[in-house]
Amino acid sequence: MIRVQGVSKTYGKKGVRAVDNLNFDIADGKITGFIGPNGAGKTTTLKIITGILEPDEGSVQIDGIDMAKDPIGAKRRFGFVADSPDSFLRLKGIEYLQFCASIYGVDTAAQQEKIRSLAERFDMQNALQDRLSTYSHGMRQKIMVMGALIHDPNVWILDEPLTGLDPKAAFELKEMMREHAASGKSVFFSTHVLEVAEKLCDQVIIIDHGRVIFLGTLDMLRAQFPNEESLEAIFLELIKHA
Amino acid sequence: MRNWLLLTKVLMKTGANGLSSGIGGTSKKRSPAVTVLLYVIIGLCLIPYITMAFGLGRSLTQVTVMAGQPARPVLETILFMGSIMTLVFGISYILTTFFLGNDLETLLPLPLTGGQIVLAKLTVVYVYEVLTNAMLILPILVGHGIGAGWGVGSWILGIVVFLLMPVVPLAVAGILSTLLMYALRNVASRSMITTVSTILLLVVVMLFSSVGGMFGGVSGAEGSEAAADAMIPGLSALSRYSRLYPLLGPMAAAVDGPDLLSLLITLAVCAAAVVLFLLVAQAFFVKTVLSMKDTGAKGKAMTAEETGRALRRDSALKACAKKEWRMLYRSPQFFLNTALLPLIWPVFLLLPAVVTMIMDPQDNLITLIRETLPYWDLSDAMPIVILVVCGATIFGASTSFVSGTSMSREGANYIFMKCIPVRYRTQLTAKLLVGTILTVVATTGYSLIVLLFLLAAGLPPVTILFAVLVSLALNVICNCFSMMIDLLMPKLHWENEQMAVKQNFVPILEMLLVLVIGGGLCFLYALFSLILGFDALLVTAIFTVVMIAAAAGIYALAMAYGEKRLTALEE
Repeated sequence: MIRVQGVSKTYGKKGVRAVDNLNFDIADGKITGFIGPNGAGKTTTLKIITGILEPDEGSVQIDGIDMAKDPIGAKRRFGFVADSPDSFLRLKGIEYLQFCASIYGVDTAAQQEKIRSLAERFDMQNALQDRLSTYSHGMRQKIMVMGALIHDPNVWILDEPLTGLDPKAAFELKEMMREHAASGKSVFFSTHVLEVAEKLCDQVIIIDHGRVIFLGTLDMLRAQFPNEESLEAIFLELIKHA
Repeated sequence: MRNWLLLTKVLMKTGANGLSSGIGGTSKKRSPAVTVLLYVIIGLCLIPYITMAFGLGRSLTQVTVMAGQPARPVLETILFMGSIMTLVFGISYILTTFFLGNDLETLLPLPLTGGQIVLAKLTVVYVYEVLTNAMLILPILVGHGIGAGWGVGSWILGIVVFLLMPVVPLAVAGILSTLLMYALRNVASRSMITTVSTILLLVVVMLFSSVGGMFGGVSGAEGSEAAADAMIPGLSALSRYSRLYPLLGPMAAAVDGPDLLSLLITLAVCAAAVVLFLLVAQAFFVKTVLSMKDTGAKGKAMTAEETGRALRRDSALKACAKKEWRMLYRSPQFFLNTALLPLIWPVFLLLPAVVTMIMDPQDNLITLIRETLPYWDLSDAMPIVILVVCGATIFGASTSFVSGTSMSREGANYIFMKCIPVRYRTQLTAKLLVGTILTVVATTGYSLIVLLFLLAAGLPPVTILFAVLVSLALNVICNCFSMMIDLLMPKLHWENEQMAVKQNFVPILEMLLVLVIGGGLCFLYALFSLILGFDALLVTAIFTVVMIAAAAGIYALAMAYGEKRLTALEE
């Protein structure tokens, strides 16, 4: 699980408050969607949770391990897919996965089994010995997801994971997210696509101007706006009054 | 014209901030004491370089003038050094900028001609070469101007000539690069032919210099150059090389006069070179770029055997080092601009020897060594050998920018370093390992070959042991120092790979600092072993221990500083 307590972050000398006193838990066994308009603070929040940024105030715990006190221990607990898959383009797919497996301490036998299984699910068997620079955007996204999941982490943190994926890969990833949550582990992902959140998420966190403006299930959200027909209309109404 | 200016402006902006990205707000917390200390060290180290370069230009000129000789050969030599340096540095820069930039995919669909694109790119390269020359050559030129007692006219024309100096070498590099890439465009992948072309062109340039220098020597060993050589050994040899490049005469005459007609000739030649370059570029650039192919995908499933070979659990350090090495050598922009020079510099040294051996089988360096070898007495040569090995190590390490750009090369990917469960210390050590192994091969390795040859000629084995240990320690010191400077001022925001390593002045700064610090260490050793005449074995043993201790100390400092910097680095 992920616990975010009183997290705030200010950028630059002018003091732009990117996130402001965030408090939420991402419970095990659930898929949690992270929604918000551009510049709302989603990526900053994800970067704080993953240890890329240090909060000015507050704390983050991954499976009970405090990121500030034991960053290596906390980082072992999650798999993270960043918003841009254009990394490590000079490596071959298999080399990237072997690198990820090694830094997460996956032993040789488990590496082979896990890579075989992930490659099959994402239809990447024929691409593993090619360099990432020859991949399409979607294939790069797939290999990043595979690298993040290779150590079978308890917590999945995914920043716009479905962007660029073909329908089959998107379906597979959504299925994997459901399976992961069903096995009692947690999935936390950001998205702009409200339909995805509607179909996939057990709960959503809506953020705007660096503050959480809604946290709960979609049914709870609809109950707050009984006159709005679609999730899109509810979302627009919510951020208008934020 | 308007499109060229607009495009140049955009390309300049996207590659700007070479020195400022690390200073301009990427970090949340700084360690003020260490940061200030590093800036102070940088400042202190640059002063000696500028002073030395300035002093070299002035004293060389003054000695020549005192000998009753004209100062112009010195000026020609300085201009030749600047031109050849521009050509050598410019070849890899031009090849990677013209043919490997990610911006090509954005630029080619725009309503721009091939000529406009390459002219804008050439302008960007020109600006960076001028700035590089300003750091390396300008102090020597200013020293010469003061030594020669230039008047106002010479100073003004001197600035104009300094600005014109890189034009022809860059145009030549551009023409050669474009033609070679056009010829090889269907042979292999874009990355492969860029690497091969760069090495090929560098060897051709050095070979041309060697052969031309020999021919120049036949006719040039008389008159004022011979007289100058009597006073300053080697000056006429350098001046003879300058015969390869006919524009040196008008350039030097323009400043020396000062002579406006010579300046006009220089301007006309530069303009003609650019026009010729544009004609070649217009004819071949777009054709070349459009027909080059990237590394192709195999699209084949791996066999169980292949997978078995590829997959094994590595330690975090080994995994990070392997990743670092692969990312370095597979990127021509990175490899050619950071690692190539230290690896091939012995070729540049050997080429003239090989050429003289072929051209003059009776009277050359190899023959001389063979004939005099039985008479060599190397039993007391320890200080000289150690100094030569130190000099070679420092020179080789200073031309390697692998550790010194290791953080900048990460670019936006540096966030990956922050979210993986590997200590920053381990990741930095992996970077340092790759850079240090490369310079060790290029310095200690090459030195060892010569030392083993000298062992056969009677050099005491203990000298080799000390030389190797000192060389290894110096490599660690130079690489740690370069990495710390890069960590202090990393260039993390770039749009294509060459911006991280070329449109970035930090590596040049690192090179100067390494030369100055290394030069200082060599001086200390020479002071005690040669000038003050202490026991050579004792001084060498102490020097070796001090160097090893210094290497351990600076490694610890680099790691501590690196951890702080990585923690503090933010968007």
